Amino acid sequence: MIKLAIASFLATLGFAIMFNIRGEKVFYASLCGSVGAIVYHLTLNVWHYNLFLTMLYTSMAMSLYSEIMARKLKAPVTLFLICGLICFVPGGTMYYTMMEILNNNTAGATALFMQVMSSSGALAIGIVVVSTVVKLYYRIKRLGGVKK
Amino acid sequence: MDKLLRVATKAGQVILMCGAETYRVEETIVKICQAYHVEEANAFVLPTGVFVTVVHEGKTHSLNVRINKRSTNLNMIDAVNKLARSIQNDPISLEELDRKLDEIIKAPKYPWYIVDLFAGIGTFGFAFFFGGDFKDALCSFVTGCLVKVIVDYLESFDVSSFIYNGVGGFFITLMAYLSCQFSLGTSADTIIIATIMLLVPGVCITNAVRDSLAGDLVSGIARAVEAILIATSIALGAGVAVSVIRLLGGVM
Repeated sequence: MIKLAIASFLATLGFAIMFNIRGEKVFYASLCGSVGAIVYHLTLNVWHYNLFLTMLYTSMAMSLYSEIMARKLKAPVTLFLICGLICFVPGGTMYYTMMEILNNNTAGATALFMQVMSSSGALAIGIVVVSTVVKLYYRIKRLGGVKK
Repeated sequence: MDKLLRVATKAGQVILMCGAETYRVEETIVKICQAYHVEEANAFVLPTGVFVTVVHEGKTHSLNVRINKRSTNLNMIDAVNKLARSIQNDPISLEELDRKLDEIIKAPKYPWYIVDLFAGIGTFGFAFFFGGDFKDALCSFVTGCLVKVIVDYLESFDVSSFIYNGVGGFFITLMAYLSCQFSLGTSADTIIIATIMLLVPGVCITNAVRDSLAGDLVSGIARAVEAILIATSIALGAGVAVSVIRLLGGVM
């Protein structure tokens, strides 16, 4: 697990620099990848959930982390989220889809393609769920403040 | 009035070109317009263009801008976002806002060798992430650096993204095969997957779904098409490489 976390830290670090993040934010953006990797490992390999739920929980954990960091460091949520997220985009599955097409195995290619779509959908849904909940939380909190 | 319209649209254009989500671009433009007390401000943003209309003293002003180039530069989004938020509280003159925007646009990027080096470090990490060993990671590092150089070089010629991603996919597969042939790496698949992550349109795919869920359906579809096009071109490049290798009698 620690190996995975360090690996995804490095991978995210690469993207953080490519996407021109500056200063201490580079470190916190890279940490987002590690957070994702730890959750990914726990849900997929320890609790044996399926891939869709794994992706959903991973992106939820990462966006929660990014929402917290965005408020602490006063920067947009995307800045922390995007780099970490890229680690979990199903690029490998896309590659295998292409290989199946080359091997004339249409059924296999379709199955893998569905997996690509559902994984990336789950990633995005996780982000939307967390950002909506956070927005609601702040709105309710503000309403409460007005009542007092 | 004209000046405000131009400055607000410029701000939106800049962050759209840097990979911001559609709603953020619209929000930023409207925020800037409202800071200068117009009666009504409307922004309609697509990944390929920005349309802004402002109503002031009973007159309607409108401007649209076409966008051809898209990349990712998160630092710039951050800076423009902060600027738009700060003028809500303490308004500055339009000239000063324009000057500050130009400053943000001209802010230094990392030099190309740093970017390439970190592209390599990224793929180095990915190789471990996908279960490769140290040899695979080293091969991915070299391949990642080279691919980033090639893709960036082609990109600077204004070639279509279909071409340079295809070339990238071709090159990655070839390098991975060769490095395994000379037993520098253990698993060609791992090296390919690790380095292909550099080209995969990850930001595009997630932004497509996010835009659609936020109600920006046209942007969502446009981004999805872009993502599918890029993914197809990478796969095509890799596929051509594999078939060439097979044609020459290699096993892949």
